[in-house]
Amino acid sequence: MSSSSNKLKLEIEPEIRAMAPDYLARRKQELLVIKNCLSTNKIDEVRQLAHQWKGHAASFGFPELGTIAARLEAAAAARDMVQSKALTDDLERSLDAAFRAILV
Amino acid sequence: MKRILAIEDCDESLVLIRSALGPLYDIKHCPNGQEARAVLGNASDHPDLLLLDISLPDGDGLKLLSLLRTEDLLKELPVIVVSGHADIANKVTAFSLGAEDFIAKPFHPTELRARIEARLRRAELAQQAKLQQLSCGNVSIDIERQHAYTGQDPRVVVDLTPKEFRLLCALIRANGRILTREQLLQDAWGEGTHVVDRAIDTHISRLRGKLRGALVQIEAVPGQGYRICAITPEPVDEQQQQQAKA
Repeated sequence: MSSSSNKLKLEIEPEIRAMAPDYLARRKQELLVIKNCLSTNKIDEVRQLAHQWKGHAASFGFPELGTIAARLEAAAAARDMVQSKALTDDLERSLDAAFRAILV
Repeated sequence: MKRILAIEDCDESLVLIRSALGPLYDIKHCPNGQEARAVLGNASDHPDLLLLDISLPDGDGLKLLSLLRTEDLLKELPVIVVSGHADIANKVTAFSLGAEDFIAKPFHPTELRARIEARLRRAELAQQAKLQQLSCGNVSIDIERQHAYTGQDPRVVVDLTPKEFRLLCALIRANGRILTREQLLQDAWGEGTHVVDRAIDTHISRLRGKLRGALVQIEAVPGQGYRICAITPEPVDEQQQQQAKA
């Protein structure tokens, strides 16, 4: 799955690009939900949310987020809490980087 | 305007779909299978194309696809599966159930639009081919010659005005589906025409008159519109036939 995220190289249309700040803001909110699910052992919800991120992040111009989300989905499906937490931290770092990139 | 029904539970995917297709299509949305079945159960609400996610909150999109294919009026509806569960097994199952295409998430909005356009073009060509041999009951239509006939051998030309001809084509093409007055207006008068809805009733009434004796019935469905269906010929009473001969 991660390879398909990376393959999405065709330029993102301006209409989609204009939605990026709102999209990232919604991800920031959802990241809190993921963290909360991890702290309450709701691993299936984490898997479901990661699956959704994997499915749309690259389309909005953030393939890196999609790649990490795919790995998080796999870790959550394997019920690997340690790996899931580590990948959620990666997701947060990638999200912050994406925010900084669109501000430039 | 072509109508697309997106059965999709992910808000962000829906944002992408709407953005990709924008004002080119009339996009309706159902967040789960149950709502989708309710919408698709209404014949006058049928879309021209379905975008179907596999993982729906109330079940499997592929099961829904398999159910839809058992419905006579939905057998030929073009379906594009759009899913993040893009493994070979799901793709093969989707195609074997009659999906026209499978788009893996993440998708590029431009590619989504291109694939939808391609599917709709193909569906339209297939529809045009079908139009060449339209028939219902003992009424048949020759699109090329713009003639409607009743009977088989010999065929009798029914003298119709161009609008009546277009109305008859639309009704027969709908294959028993109810068409709203708005849909009939669009077919017979063209898009963007403003005519009083009741004008349809007048033309339908004339059409019925001209098809009197043919083995079809144009039925008014209160509050919904019109549909055409074939009727079986009444059994011939031998006694009556002999009396008529005498």
